[in-house]
Amino acid sequence: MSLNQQHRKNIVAFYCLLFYALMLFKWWSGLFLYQFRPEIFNTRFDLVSWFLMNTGLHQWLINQSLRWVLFDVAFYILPLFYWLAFLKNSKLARAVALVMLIVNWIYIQCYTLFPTNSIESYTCWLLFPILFLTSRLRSFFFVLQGLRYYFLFIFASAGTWKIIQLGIFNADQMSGVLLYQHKEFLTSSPGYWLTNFFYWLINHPFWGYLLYLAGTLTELFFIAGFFTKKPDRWLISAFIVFVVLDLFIMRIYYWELAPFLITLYYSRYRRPSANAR
Amino acid sequence: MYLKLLYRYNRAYFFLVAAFIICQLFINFKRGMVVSPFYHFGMYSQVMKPDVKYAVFEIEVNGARLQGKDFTPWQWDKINQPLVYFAGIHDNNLFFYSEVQRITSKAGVSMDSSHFTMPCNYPQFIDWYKSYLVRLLPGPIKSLEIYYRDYFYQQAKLQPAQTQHSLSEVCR
Repeated sequence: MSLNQQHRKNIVAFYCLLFYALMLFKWWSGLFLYQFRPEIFNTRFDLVSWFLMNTGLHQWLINQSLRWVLFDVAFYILPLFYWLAFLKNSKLARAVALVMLIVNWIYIQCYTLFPTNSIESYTCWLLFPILFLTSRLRSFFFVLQGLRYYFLFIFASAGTWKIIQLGIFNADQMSGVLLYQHKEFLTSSPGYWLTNFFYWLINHPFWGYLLYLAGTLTELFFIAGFFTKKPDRWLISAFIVFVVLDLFIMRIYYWELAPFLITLYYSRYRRPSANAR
Repeated sequence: MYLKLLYRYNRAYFFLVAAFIICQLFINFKRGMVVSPFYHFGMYSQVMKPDVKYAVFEIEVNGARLQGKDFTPWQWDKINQPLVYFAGIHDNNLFFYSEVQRITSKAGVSMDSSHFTMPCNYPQFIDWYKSYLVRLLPGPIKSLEIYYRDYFYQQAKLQPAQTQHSLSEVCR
């Protein structure tokens, strides 16, 4: 079956649904900019960030509650505007998508300069608006496929790096990782069941290494997606398991990447015909 | 297959996607600096063995140390990350002069240091941190102390060193 306009509508709806589900979660968890009230920033090794920082925009946000709210509102309201515009008028929708692309870039770049989270986990919000810039259904299809490959690349490269940088060949890797990642947690919460579990993994490197190996193999499994779309449903499951275990064992949250799952879910649909609008 | 179909469909799209792939691979092979949205996704891929010593933040509110078990992962991150940033101000400022300025000046671009560097203003930071932290805690903050202490990985546990340092000593 070929991708059609109804699928396109579902994809946009699905994206907005995930965006707003994550928004509610972030608001509840105090992860909006106005809830962070940033005061301090850090320079990352990113050329694009340097050009943004040179404008002083991130400093314009420091200690300015009204500006935090303005940024939050702009970032969180645009998918809703896009959805409404998409239902009414495709030209207007594309204009909103362009604004969304620009706002997302500025917001995410600034947000991640403050002590929040790493920018890599927000790539979804940086790239998805490009999909909404397309007018023809065929263009939409090709950009959707491109995003799918990017998502596969994130995991495939994470697995490949573990081979290139030799982490996978180190039997004590997970012990070193857990000690570094949880040092504040381990020392502040002695006797707690999770502390005991982390220490057990640290002091039994074989079991810790098995987890690291399983994680790496899961990441490498995404390479299959470059050659065939058959395992895409399995890749969706693999991502969900990976995110849940990452949250439990590493206490790192990667669910901002979840909207990329849309690309795997809709990958079974074929290229629309040349005359499809 | 994808690239072949894209080439047939639209040359401009094809060249854009090809350029994207080349940039992403170049950033990966080169390592070091990234250029958004081309990132390294190599989290914890370098060899990490258990170290002998770890520097750890200790946050004491109303005389009792905050415990990670009482917070969600994202709350615990919110509590600790600003301290990591504050302790790293000196390195952050050095990074501007050693990397940002060096690289951009090669391209003939001048970057303004005031947008990249921060002073180590401990009283100002601690005032802000107190007002920030109170929103994560169930009650008011009567006293707040932040220390930096070495822990040694010995006898299958992280054991504290005798001496601890105030956070103000870390960034001077």
